[in-house]
This record gives sequence, structure tokens and C-alpha cells, in this order.
Amino acid sequence: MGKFILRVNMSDLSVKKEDVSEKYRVLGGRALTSTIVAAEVKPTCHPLGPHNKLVFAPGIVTGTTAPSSGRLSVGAKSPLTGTIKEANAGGIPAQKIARLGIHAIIVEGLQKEKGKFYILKLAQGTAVLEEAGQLTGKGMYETNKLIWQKYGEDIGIIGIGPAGEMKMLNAGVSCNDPENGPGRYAGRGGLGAVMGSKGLKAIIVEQKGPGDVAIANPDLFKQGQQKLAKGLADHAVTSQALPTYGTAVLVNILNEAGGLPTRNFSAGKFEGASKTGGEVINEWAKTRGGKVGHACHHGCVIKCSNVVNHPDGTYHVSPLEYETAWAFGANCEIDNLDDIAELNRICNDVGLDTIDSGGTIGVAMEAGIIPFGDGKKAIELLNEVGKGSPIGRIIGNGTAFTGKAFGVVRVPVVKGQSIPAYEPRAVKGIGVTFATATMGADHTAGYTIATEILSVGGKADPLAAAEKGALARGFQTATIFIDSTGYCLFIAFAVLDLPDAFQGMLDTVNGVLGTGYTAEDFNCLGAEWLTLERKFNEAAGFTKADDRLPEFMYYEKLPPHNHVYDVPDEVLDSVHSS
Amino acid sequence: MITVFLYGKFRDKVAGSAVGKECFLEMEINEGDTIASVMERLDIAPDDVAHIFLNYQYSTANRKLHHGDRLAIFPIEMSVLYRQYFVKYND
Repeated sequence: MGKFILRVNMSDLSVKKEDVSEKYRVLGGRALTSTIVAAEVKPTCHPLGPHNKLVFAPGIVTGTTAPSSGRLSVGAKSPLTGTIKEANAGGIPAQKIARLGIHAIIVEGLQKEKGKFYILKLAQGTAVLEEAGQLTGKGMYETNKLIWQKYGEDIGIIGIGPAGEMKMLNAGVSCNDPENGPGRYAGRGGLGAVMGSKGLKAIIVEQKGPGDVAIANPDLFKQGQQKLAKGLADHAVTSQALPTYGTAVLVNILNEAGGLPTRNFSAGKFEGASKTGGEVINEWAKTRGGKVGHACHHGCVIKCSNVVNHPDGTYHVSPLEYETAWAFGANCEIDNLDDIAELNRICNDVGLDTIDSGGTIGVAMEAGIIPFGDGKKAIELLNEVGKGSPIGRIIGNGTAFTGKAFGVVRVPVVKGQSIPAYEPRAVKGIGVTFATATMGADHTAGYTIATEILSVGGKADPLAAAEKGALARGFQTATIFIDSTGYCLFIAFAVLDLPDAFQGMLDTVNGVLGTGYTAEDFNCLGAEWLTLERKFNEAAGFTKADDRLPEFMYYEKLPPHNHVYDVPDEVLDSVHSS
Repeated sequence: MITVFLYGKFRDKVAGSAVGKECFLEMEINEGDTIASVMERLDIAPDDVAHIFLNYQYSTANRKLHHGDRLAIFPIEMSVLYRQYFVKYND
């Protein structure tokens, strides 16, 4: 089956099929969204104006039977950061889009009638825009329910909640999970606001069965699939830890490392950590029902997701992940996991990124709007977002905006995006990634490098700094490659440790594309795509002065280690210039 | 005396421990005690351990212990951590 690109123009409500060029054929996921954004979007454009474009692309192997490969990349110029942006999510839509033969969806223009929303309906051989009607203004839980009632179960849904419709800077893009929950978010960077600015409420994808995804070399693909599946089954992280405890197991681990940001990044250790981590979620799955080892899409063998129930055994939210448990937990000094689950549910419903929402509430607490530790008041405050009240609009615009609104100095953002759940003053290597990622502070942008190679506390000589920078860049290029394949980033645990699993990943990519990529090509391609993103940001006005952590981290010592952030600027500068 | 914080299945070594509460025990140490020797006393096999933190530092089991130390031990089932995150202190 030939692949095609769908170009959706919201100004004249046209949907056109385009051929896939050879250049685009070998790209997928983040490489494809960033290449299209770089080619078609003026870097200086207003992210919510007529010249920004929103691009959706499944990964290279998405839609095939490769394990844990159902990721969807969403790209645009970000209204939150002003940089190029790619956020990706699991859930069921990506595989269905790929199986319909759709290589990418490019949404451009703005709807003519202000406040009017549409849905894009995709099925075999058809792609049409319809008025969103009663779905307009609805939260994502009701939106998903109404769509399945009207169009049938197992429909893939990509949508925005009221935060996206109101074009708030922290609005994310929801993808539904196999049970039709809206919790799989391409959350970061305000891409939901871009979707809202174009008047697109949802994309719904009707597709059943394995489809007919073209595989150039089926034998090589099958061989690779088996190697990778074996690696994921053998590795302790992907076969035991993630399905048993989920990512929230990290709450206690980072707490023992003194690196769990607490009370808006004023400490690295949280007294209530034990009440808010993966062990409690695992225990609740036994006592309240719910689930650990939940798969966010069909064919995921890692199953890090979970379903968290209320005390009475009824469904509350899915998934409750580390970043969220931390953002609303330690970061807001809230030690009641039911309150944290409710804050998570509100984000899923209203359509907000949980990391930036937790960062925002932490800053609001710092400002004295509500007290630290008060989960009930945090729930009331976050509920204001969906109402569009003045305070709700401040909160919905994220951490940086809220910090400015209330004159807060300790605002944990890089390029306007909230820092995730690893305190850079305790985990200094990841601070390099937060500072230099093309996306703003992003824990998924690159693995970190250990502190002993960063010359912490000492002045690095220029040559050594260049070597360190190159190493940090290497981790970012590896990540962008995985983000382009459609594999979940968690396969990295296995592929970084097990050479056979790494080869398996490469074999599946080569099998699908008919290419002969080697491990060296893997790095070269990643570097090429990273440079493309970096050039977009430079053209948008970003310089190396933007590649810094927030100033307070350089002068406030963080207990219990009592360190400031002391990685030399030369190292940060050399990440992209060496 | 040191304080040992236990996670996951190692919580079972403390009577009355419950998920959702800090699980720790206080132990006397002798001159020359290391993390490994304390683990042996607790009947924790090295292969069954994912992460060790001593006074919030990521550590090998070789380190010597001192009065007032805080030790935390995570079982292999909880090994979610990229190896590159921390320096592993070895004294």
C-alpha cells in the first residue's frame, strides 16, 4: 500500500492527499515532524497565528508488529517555548494512522469562523472535516465517550480539552488508550493550543486489524523484531521494574538520591515520598482493584502504565506516572496520593500537561496563592482552568507565566518550559540536557552524563569541555533517533545495555525502509536532525544564553547535598558547537 | 548506630512495616563494617540489589559505614534508573 501525506487546510476546510517524497519516505516520528516544520514554518511566526503548522506523524516502524512501537509524534512551533517542538505519546491512534497508509498529517491555516471547531474523520480511503458540534467545550473524558458512542468502539482519538480550545500555553494533545481513557498525552510545549488555534477539536481514526504496512525486507524485520523482543524480555528494567511498579518507583529512588525536587525546587528530599510512589500504586492495585502492568497500546510488551482506582474501587485515573506523582506530590508538598490522582485526572480532562501544571501549582504556592501541602486547595485552583476564569487562565498558561504574574523569582523553567522531576543540583548531568535540549527543559531529550565527566566544581579547559559537550550531544542524537522510529523511549534501557537488542532495533528499521543503516548512521542521522531543530531555534532568535538553567539554581544551595549548579558554561556551550 | 531504609520486598525484614510508610531499622555497627557486611547480616544477596544510597550518594556495597549514616537499599525489581545519572561512590 502506498503511503501518503494528508494536508488539512482549516481556512478553506480542504483535505488533500499528497505523495511522499523519497526524502520524507525514510523519515518518521520526530525526524519527520521536525523536518516538515523546519521546511514549512517560518521560525519567527506567532505560534498561534496563521503561519504555524501542526504535524502528526507515526514512527518508522509504527503500525507493524514490532514491540512497544505505537508512538505518535506531534510537532509545531511551540507557543510555550517559542522553539521547535515535538511531543510524543502512546495510546491507540498512531498504529491506526500508520495502518491507513498515512505518513503524516499537516494541519495549516486558521478556521474562518472564530470559536468554531471541527473534527477530522479518517477511515480507509476517506478523510473529511466535520463540525465538532456538541463536542465543543467538552472535557476529554466526555469527548472520548461521545465519540465512541457515535462512531463505534476502538476508534482512535487525538483531541484537545477546554485548555486547548482556549489556546492556553500549557495545553496538551490527548491520545486515547485501549479503554478510551484520554491519559496518553503529547503534553509538553502547548501543542494543544496550536490545535485549538486552528479550530481542530479532534482527529478520529477508524481502522481495524493489522492493516497493510509496507515492509521492504520482511525477513530482516522479523529477525530484528525477535532480537528486540528478547532484549526487552531479558532486561530487568523493561521486564520487571516497569510492569511491576511503573515509573513512579522513581519517587523513592530520587528521594534517596536527594534529587527529588520538593516545595518548588527548594529541597531535594520529601518527607512524604513513601506515600506517593510506585509501591503504593502497586499495593492499591491489589487492595482497590485497578491495574499495574497496563499497556498503553496494543503490542506494548513493557506495560509501564497503570490504572489507579478510588478507595471504593471505582476507576479514577490512568496512568499515574512518576513525573505526575512528583509534580503534584513532592513539588507541591502534597502527600495524599488520592489528591494527586485527582489533579492528574483534571489535567487529562481539561487537557493540560501534568509536569508543567505541577510546576505551576508549585509556583502559585510559592507566591502564597494557596499553601504548600494543601491538596484540596490545589484541586480547586486547577479546576479554575477549565472554567476559563482569570486565575484559571493564569494557571493554564503554565509555570513561567504564573511566575511572572505573581512576581516569583524561584521559577523552575528552561526556555519557558517547566523542569521535570530530576533536580539538576543533585543530578548535574541531566541539567546539561535540560539546559541545551532543543525543546526546553525535557527529561526525554537525552540521557544524562554522570557528574565525574562534567568537571563539577572546577574550571574545564576548552578542549575537555568540547569533549564533554560532544558526549552530551551524543545522548541527544540517540534519543532523537529513537523518537523517530516510533519505539517507546523505554526500549533504551535494553538497547543501551544489550548489543543484540540494539541490533534488533536497527534491523526492524532497515527491514521496514529497505535501508542499510549502521550504528554509525544512527548517530549521524540523529545529529543531522538535531542540527535541523537547532537551526530553527537560532532563526527564531535563540542563542547560547538561552541554554542555561534558571538563575536561582546557581546561587541557592539545595539540601541535603547543599550544592549549587556548577557545571561550567563552557560545557553547556560546547554541546551544540563542538 | 546507623539507619537502614528498606524498599520493595526488603520491607518484609521489618516487623509491622507497611507500604506508604517509611520502613527503616536502626542497627549497631562494628569497626570495619561495610555496606556489604550489613547486607549480609540482613540476609540480602548482592545480586538481589538494584540500588544503594549512602547518605544520599549512589554507592557500591564496598563503602565503609560510620556512626549516624543513612543507608537505603532497593531490590532488583525496582531497578528503574539510567546508569548514567549518578557517579557510583566506592570510597
